[in-house]
Amino acid sequence: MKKVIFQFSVLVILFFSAWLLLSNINFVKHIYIEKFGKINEKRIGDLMIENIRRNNTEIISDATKVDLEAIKRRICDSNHINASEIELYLFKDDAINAFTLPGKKMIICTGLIKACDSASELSGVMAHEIGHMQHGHIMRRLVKEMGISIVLSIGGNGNGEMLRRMVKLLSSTAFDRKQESEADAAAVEYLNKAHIDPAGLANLFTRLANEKNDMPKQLEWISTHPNSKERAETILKLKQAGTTYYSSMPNIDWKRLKATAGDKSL
Amino acid sequence: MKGNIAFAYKPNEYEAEKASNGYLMSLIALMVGMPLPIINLVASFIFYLGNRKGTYFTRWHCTQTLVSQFTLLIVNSIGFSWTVSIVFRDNTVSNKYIAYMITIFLFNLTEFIITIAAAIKTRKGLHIEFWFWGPLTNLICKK
Repeated sequence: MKKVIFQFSVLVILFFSAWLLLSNINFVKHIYIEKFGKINEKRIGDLMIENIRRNNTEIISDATKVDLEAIKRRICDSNHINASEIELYLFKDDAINAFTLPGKKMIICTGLIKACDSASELSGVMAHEIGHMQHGHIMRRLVKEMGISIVLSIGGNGNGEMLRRMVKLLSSTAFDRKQESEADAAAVEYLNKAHIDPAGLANLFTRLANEKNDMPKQLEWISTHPNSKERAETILKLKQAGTTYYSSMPNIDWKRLKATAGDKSL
Repeated sequence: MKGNIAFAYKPNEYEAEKASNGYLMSLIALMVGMPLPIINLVASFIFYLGNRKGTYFTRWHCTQTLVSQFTLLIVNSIGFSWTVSIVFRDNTVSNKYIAYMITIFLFNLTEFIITIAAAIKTRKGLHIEFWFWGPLTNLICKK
């Protein structure tokens, strides 16, 4: 009996040691970054932007760009993220939505700016999307949902119908819970370091979740980000005590940004 | 794996063939049944039932096949359900998952090789005891 127990223990130790040792190798980074580096995420993102431009009006206002860029720079510079890699696009669309395309391209709909009560709320959404980018969620999701062969073929020839399907997938369906939690946690970390109050993001989650029944069609961002109320609570828990936050964010003309988005209420 | 261990008696040609077939059955079922991990266990179990009243040498080796396949079933089932949760549910591919799949692949490969070796040796009438499963079989299988 002793022999059986001894040999079984050796076998179990051997199995778990092999597993533990192999777990230290960063396979995920190797698979996703090495492979997709070759197929050029940026090219897929460019093709998607062209596809969106065909059916939507892009707002190319220097003033708006200055304000959105200022938020982006504040978040990125405080967190050692290369801000020049992230491209912002503002589209005239009443949908309350923001999403990220491959190649670190962030799409913001004017409906979202209209729905935000403050620059910190909009910053929260942008920080959340940057969280998705930094964790490499976008390509992983595309590959998971559509298959690697389709994603690879898009990188080569830019099939229009496939591009539309991919944009639809990224703009109107949810990431999985684990990825959303990762992006939320990253957003809170980025916002804390940038001295922007994460409560803005929590407030937006709570408010939009309450309004969901009144205007379900426009609230795309909230429908793609389920369990909003619980997440708002988690965000508030993750807030760092003792951090000082801007009461109003410097270098950002919030009224001008709202006006460009078509909000005349201010 | 320990080879050429003295057995209680010298098995005849018929017993050696039966014992060897037990190992071969599990190998064929493993290849046919992929990726479902239970097929090879079911095949080994059916073969075991068919030979449970056979001679001691045949029974001993059928039992060793069965217990080794049962261990594989456990580790393979975990890998299988983990894969299903990635494909159909919220789970994502992680380093731990890839490491686990490589580990069970190595585990299965080792098992595959020693099972082939056991099938060849037992066909010649030689007695083979696997690490852990051999002593375990000695406890389970009585004369």
